[in-house]
Amino acid sequence: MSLFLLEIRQLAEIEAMAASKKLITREEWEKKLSDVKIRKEDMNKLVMNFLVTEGYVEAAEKFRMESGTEPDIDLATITDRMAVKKAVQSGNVEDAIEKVNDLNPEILDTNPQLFFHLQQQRLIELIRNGKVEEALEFAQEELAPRGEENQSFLEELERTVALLAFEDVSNCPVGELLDISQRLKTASEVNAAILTSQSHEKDPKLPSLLKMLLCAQNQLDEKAAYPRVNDLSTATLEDPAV
Amino acid sequence: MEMDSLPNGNNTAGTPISATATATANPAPPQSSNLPQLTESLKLEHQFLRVPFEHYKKTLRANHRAVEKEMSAVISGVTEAAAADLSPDDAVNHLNSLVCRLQGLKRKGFYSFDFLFAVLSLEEGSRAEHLQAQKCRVRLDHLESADAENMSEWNNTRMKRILVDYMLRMSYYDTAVKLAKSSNLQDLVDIDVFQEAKKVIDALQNKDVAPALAWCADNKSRLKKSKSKMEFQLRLQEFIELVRAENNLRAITYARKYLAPWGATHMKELQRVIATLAFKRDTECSTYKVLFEAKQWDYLVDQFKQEFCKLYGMTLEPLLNIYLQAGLSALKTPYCYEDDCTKEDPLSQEAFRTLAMPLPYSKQHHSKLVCYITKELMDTENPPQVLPNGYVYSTKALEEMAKKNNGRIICPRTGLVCSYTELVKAYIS
Repeated sequence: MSLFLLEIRQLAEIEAMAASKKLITREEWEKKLSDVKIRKEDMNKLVMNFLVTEGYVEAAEKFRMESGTEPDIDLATITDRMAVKKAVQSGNVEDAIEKVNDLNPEILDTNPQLFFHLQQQRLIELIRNGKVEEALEFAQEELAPRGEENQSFLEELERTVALLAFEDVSNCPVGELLDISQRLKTASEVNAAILTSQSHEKDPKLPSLLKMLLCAQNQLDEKAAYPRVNDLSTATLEDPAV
Repeated sequence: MEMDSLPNGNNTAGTPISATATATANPAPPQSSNLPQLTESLKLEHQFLRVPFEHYKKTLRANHRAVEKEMSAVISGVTEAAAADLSPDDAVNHLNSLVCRLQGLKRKGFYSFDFLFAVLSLEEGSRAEHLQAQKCRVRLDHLESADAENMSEWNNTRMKRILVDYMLRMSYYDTAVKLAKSSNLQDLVDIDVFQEAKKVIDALQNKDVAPALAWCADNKSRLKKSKSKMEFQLRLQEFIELVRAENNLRAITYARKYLAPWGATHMKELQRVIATLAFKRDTECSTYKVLFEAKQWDYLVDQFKQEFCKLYGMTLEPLLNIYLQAGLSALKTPYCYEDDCTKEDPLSQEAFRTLAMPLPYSKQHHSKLVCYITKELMDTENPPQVLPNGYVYSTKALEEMAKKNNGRIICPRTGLVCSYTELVKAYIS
């Protein structure tokens, strides 16, 4: 009996909470939104920031001409950065290292982890192409000395060299190193390092703003029922469930 | 008489060992009536029965496999002959060759073959099997023979068995054989079993893994059941030797064939060893340098000894160590380490003190006072008495001394002379 009473009380509390949540109608909400003013220049800067960071150089050039928004870095460097990224993604790591050094020799000098990961990727490519002797020589000459200096490099090196022990990569516990996703991961790391060297953020601002929107909505959900943006791609307001 | 497993033995067999062994040999005589008093002592004889029994089972399995192999070959030969379109002469020749094959089996002692009735019957009668069944029987009889009358002789035999076990485990094979022969203990010790281990150990000490790998193959199913890593570790060592010799491509081929299958369960160790390809034999990187050291072979020897003992249900430590540790921990008290510890106490000797160092103290709920003169216990029947100089002796000893010396007492430790009337009775609380 007491259990039943307890459940009744809990239900009552939930209802009271729901009742205490402020309900904001679509009309009120849209009025509040229309009162917020956003400058066109700010919007254009956000778009330009996105195009530059993601490397859409031609689109950025056209957008500059059409909107008059100036990018905060030289657009020519984007082409170089994207060439590096593309080289890594297609497995031409040597070419990528050369291009990075042409762009800014300090990038690899000041970032030993990035350099190790590029060398590791190069070893992976040699193993992928069945160049066993070359892979061994490369591991001995280039990677082992760096592994000795750093425990985390050593573990990465162990995992990579272990690929040599498996003819059938589908049964290899470290087989994911040969996946395309590993190339993308390395390419993304190089891309971020180049952007940092150009005093530019590693990530575009637009996705960050969208994350903030979702975060703010989640916090507001606790206090009010309001028209929500559930689908970011359409940005449609959806009425609150009453 | 069901055998309890030793603390570091492992009685995995579900059936009481003695019962199974008896069934394979002759029926046992009725148990000795003295056995209940000996039960505690016999609990330590687990491996005494277990080892020959395991050896016996192993031989049976090996013989059974050999028989099955030969039989399936003969049967498939007959089937082929039946299916083939042979002339009568060819058919007779073919059957004769199969008969010869079976008679060869019979000579090996596995089978009898009665061609007239075309009956193939399997005979469990190889010489090795028979000898091992006999050994189980002898050991059971030896345990049965333990009773109060011959206890001292029986214990003496046990002492020699323990010493032989120690010698065999320490690889003093010739000494072990000599002691066993001179004491007529051949059936009560496991020389034949340890000879099998000796071959593998000698090979490993000579940096040769082939006999050890063959041993792993012979015992594959049982090693797999106990989740043994022995074969894997041998393979790793063989890989290391290829890297040491700078046969890198051969090492990779070897790894793909013999190491890759272990990747799912032992990837961490596998990775570490494969990485030696990048670091080479002269590396200064401690992680890999250790893998090229000679002591890796010593680890393999130790590992093999452990696996071998586990397989035969032996204790992992020599019995001598176990008995010594049990005895010393029963005797060890803080008093043993004091300067005036009596010479009769084994722990007054440096060698025993060293052995007892890691052992716990004996759990003594009450002090036991032993008279310095008579070496007898002082209790309410024979209470302690205190001399004026503070030394304590038993009433019995002091009364005898007073009788001999006209009522005078002479302290054996300080030389003090006093009258019997000056003594004060002490009480044990």
